[in-house]
Amino acid sequence: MIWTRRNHADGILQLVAIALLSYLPTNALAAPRDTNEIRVALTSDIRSSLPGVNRVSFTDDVLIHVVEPLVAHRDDLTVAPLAAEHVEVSDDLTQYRFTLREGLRFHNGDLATAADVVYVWERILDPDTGFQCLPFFDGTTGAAVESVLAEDERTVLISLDAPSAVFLEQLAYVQCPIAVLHRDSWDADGNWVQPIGTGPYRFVEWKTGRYVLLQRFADYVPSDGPASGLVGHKVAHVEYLRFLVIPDVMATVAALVSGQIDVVPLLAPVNALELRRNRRVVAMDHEGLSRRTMLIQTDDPLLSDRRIRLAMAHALDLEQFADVASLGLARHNPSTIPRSDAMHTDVHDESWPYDPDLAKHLLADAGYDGEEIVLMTSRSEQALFDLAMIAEAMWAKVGLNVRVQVLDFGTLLTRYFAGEFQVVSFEFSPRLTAIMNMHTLIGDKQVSPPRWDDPRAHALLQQASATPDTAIRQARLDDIHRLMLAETPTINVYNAPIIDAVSIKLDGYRPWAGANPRLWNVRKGE
Amino acid sequence: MSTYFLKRLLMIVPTLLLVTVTVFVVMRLVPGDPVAMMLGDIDNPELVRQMREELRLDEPIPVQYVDWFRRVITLDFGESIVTGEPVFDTMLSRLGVTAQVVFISVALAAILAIVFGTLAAWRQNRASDLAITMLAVGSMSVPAFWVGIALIIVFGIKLQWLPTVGYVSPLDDLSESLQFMVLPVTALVVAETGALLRMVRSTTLDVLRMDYITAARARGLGERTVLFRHALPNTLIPTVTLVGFALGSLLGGAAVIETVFTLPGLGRLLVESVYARDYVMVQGVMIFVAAIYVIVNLLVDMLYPLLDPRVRLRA
Amino acid sequence: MNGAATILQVEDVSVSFGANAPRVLDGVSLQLAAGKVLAIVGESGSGKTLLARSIIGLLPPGAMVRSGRIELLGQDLTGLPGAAMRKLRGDQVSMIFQEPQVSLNPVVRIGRQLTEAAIERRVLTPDAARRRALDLLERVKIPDPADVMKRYPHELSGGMCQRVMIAAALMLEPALLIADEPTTALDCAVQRDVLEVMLEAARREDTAVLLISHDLGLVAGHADDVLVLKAGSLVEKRAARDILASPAADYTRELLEAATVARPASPRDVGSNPVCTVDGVTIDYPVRRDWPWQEQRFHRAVDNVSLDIRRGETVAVVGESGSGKTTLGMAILGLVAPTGGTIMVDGEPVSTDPRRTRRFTQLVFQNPYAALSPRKTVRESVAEPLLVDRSADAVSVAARTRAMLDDVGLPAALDDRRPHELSGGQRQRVSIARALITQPGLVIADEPVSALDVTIQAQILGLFARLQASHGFACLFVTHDLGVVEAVADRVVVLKQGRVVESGDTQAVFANPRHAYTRELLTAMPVLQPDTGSGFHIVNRHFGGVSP
Repeated sequence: MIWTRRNHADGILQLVAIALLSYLPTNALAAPRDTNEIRVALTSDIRSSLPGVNRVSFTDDVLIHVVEPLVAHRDDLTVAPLAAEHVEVSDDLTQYRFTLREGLRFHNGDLATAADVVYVWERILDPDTGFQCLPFFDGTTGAAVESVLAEDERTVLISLDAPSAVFLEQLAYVQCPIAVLHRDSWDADGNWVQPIGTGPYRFVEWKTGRYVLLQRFADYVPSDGPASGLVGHKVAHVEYLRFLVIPDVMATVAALVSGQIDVVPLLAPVNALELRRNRRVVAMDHEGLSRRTMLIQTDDPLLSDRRIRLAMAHALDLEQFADVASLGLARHNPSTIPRSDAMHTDVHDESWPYDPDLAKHLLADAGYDGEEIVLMTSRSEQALFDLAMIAEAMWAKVGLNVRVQVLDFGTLLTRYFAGEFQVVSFEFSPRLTAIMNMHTLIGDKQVSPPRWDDPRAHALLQQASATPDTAIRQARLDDIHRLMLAETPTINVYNAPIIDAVSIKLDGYRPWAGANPRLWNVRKGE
Repeated sequence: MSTYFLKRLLMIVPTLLLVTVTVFVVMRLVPGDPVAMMLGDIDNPELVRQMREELRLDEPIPVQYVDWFRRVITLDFGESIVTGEPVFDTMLSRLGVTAQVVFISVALAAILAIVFGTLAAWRQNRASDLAITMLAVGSMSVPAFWVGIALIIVFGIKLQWLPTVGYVSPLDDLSESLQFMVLPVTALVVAETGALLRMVRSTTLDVLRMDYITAARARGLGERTVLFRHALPNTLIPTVTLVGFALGSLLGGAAVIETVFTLPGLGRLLVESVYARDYVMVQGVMIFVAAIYVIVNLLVDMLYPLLDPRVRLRA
Repeated sequence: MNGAATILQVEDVSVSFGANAPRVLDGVSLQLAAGKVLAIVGESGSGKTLLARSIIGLLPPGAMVRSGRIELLGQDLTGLPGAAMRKLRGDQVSMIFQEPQVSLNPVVRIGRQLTEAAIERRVLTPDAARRRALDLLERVKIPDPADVMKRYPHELSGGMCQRVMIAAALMLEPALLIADEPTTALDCAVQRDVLEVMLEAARREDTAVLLISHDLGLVAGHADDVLVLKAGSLVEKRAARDILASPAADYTRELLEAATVARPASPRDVGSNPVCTVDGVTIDYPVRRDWPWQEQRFHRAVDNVSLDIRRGETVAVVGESGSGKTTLGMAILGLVAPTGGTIMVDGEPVSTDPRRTRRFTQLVFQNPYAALSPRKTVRESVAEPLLVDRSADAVSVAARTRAMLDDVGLPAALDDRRPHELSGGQRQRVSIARALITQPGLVIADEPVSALDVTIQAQILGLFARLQASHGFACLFVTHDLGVVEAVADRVVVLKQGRVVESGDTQAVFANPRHAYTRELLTAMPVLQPDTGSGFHIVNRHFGGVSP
């Protein structure tokens, strides 16, 4: 009972006041101003530190600094060796021989050997591991890996049971890299501990819900060649990288502006525009890979009519649509293949012309009589919601009776996977190759109900995947695009622009199509 | 007296049981699948099937419940579907953060409310009362997150005095930890003080009208003694109840402030787990939060006999 | 007056709520010498409490002294700054309040409440203060004072609390003690004791006492002087003896008459058949159990009580709070089921089925304000019981209602008023009209006048007697007030802790009480009786003998 003696109450109040005053202005914010540490904001936690299993894009953001797969993407999304020094591909596209980089060393000091690579392959491809990209390698989609052999200390031979033109691209897939990991990354019982990789930064600690801390790996030997994408000459200039989990956008922006964090990857255009006036921060943008699209369920009784789908496409002024939805930061891209990809030729710029009269005509022709069409969307990504709202308005103009249904993202995803939708505004996360992008469009409805299930498209994609000849592959991909324009199983709008907001204290930071923030070759000043 | 509390303690059991059943069933009735959330737009039906099986999501809900419940009574809350971390450990560490902020905030809010509420009642209808009451109404009408954002803009961005994101444990670095606490605590204090203060003021007004206050004055006691020795102990009785409610609900429900200030607390954990459909975590946190609420209020009730001798006799 | 130093001199004091409001106390003067007792008597609203509070400087918020002087020991108190006034309180003037249990802080121990003022003002050391407190507690006849010092107010009875209050008021040896209705809220058995203890203690300290009361009969015997107030104005101020012997003002006489016991003029026409027979009735209340498996225990509220009520007769049930008298009334109404024994009303056993019993038996409540619906007009409230059975047509309902209201003396002008627009007496008249409109054979009256001023009490009791004569109903009159019993009851039943300790004809019981408890009750109540002339005198009852 503090109230029985007045002096006690006064004393406690004084204590509190002293505590507040003495801590307020003195050394506030000292730590974040440290030039030894770059701080990156993540919207949510990384879920796990095991590559390719229990992951989100934030997991990849952290892990590209820690682990290196045999091959990875360059800035232009072509594939180049990373952990490997060079790759030798047999003419029949079934044998891949990788020579590990000279001086490739694990964070615990051990030299990385071919045997380590074999160990990791066995571990990752074990079905119990739950590797997300297992279908790439077990024969589900294309060729299966027959064997992984260590030919000598530095040489690994991977054999496939059938030719594959996309094997290296699949290997480079940033979402599920088969990285070169030390076997001590697992404990004696085979449980994952944390990655002991070969990248320029080593994994220090992960406080769930709070942050992941990485430290410069002093013994890292960079490979030769210019830094590009995830490969090339990578140097860790700054001692620590701290990835902070900050779910709230407002809090993120405030932290960036006040200098508590240095990099906010993938900012929404709205927030980026707000930052234009701030002198302490620069917003850098780059053409992105995420495909924002209006996905149409071709199995729907009403929408199985090609004319209605076509009418929906012609009713949208897609150039303007993309411009408005991206706040002027992106151009309309009708193709499933992003512009940054070399496979995106002029053919892929062909789109559905804006023609409301044609749309009306097509609808009349199809006997459309104001039947309600539900457009599913979610507020989790503002741009997708905007897309739905704009589309609804444009479609109403040609007489399409579209109702927007806003769902929580979890619910939307479940419906999406079940194919239970008519139209959905959706975003496909980045796929780094043209073929992989096409796989997000074309598929067997029995297996993946949201996909476009057309035998002609299947055949074209099959041919494009199998051929080693780039010209033939290009031709097939062009054909797929034309067929898609004619069938309209989806209306691609634009690729989400990549906008990274970065403190001006950072020097050398560049956004890229691959989107994951790269913090090597970056210096931090005062 | 002990029977009374033993009874209250036993009443917790059916309450929590009801919470578990409700949460368990509702979580599974809400569309959305933790596996889908985990895999995003990657197509891998085989993996989906395998994961669902692993998480035993395909079994009938009652079977899942009994299975889960059997482990919960041994305090084994299972592992997070998302991160695989033990739910109980995660909750405890998150509670630590929340408790730190909430206890400091509610304590400060209670002190402010008692001091200024008593003062306002004592100076009823004078300028000081009017000013205090207006501030209290202001505090009641602004939501905590708004205060939080305002504080971030002023002290984080403009003045750059204090950090606005993150958390440092006081066990690691007390001074740094306090820096991180200042803004969220201030936001909560601003938002919580109003209601408490109004309550203290009106209770004090009632108490000051009681005969024993007049009698105390008639005995020639000074105003300070009248106010603090005679009015305050009586005002504290209902105030403590309200403080208990605030404490209980904030310990599980400070999610907004935790999000605004990026504090890894229990409320944020719950919200994020709901979005991620992390069933196991949501179930654990809900029962945990419910237990905290009930226990905090029980503890508050146990304070009554200290404050009010009449309760001692009755119970 | 008689040589002693003048302690208090009040000259022409007026009080109002707000500067322009009418004066609720208008030009009152008085004088009080050391060791003397001045009684201020008046009904509610007479301004007696405001007068007391203006002296000690504790007027309720909004009230202010408009004019006049209040001199305490030669110092003018009007316009004295708060701090200076505070110094006088307790030290020179202190006060005792009506409700002892709410005048003591429930969360502070008795000992501290007694000693804190002396210690805070450094008049006494803590040890000395404690000794003084123990001494005073002894003087106000509190057994085991050291133990009481450690207790909280709720652990003491009302009478004990008031004794503590008296001790607390006398702690600093004030020159003036103001006692505002000090015994009104106490059980009647202890009222006189407490009053005497207070005056005795004051006399020993030579403290002047300002005794405020509504009950002229009670205080006149103890005061040196009496001042009668009515509606804020002085009616009469005389020596106590004189005011009884020859009241000058009509109002004083009215007050005295109201306090006088008026026996029923003649024996009533009482039927021989009882309308209600209570035979060996026992009523147990279950005591709350802590656990469902615990044995159920009971509290015996009424223990083997038998009585009967004949047509046209009034039987009073007397007892203090907790004696079971109200429970018994509830049982006759069929609202509580007896555990044992039988209750016959109108020849049939009482059932808890309300329809029949309650048409024959009606209830008049203690607090008419709470018993009447605030939203209903007088007419609606009274007509309500008629509307319950649908046989009556609107015209006859209106006629019967009006006739009933005439009977209880409520003019038609009040028909459309609602309870808050009526005075307490009027409300009780409405309540009585509502009970009688169905022509009940039996009326249970539960403390029907205890919330009313004495003059109003007399009116209502008169009304009750008249109505009983004309309507012929039997009445069970539940009360704690022996004066009322003597005025209305043919027979009396004295209850103590649920048991009948004595019963019989009122006059016989009052003249020769056999049980010690009845005797205690009667002794505690001084009786005011009219002289043969125009005056009054007080009779203190004394009974010899020992109860069986």
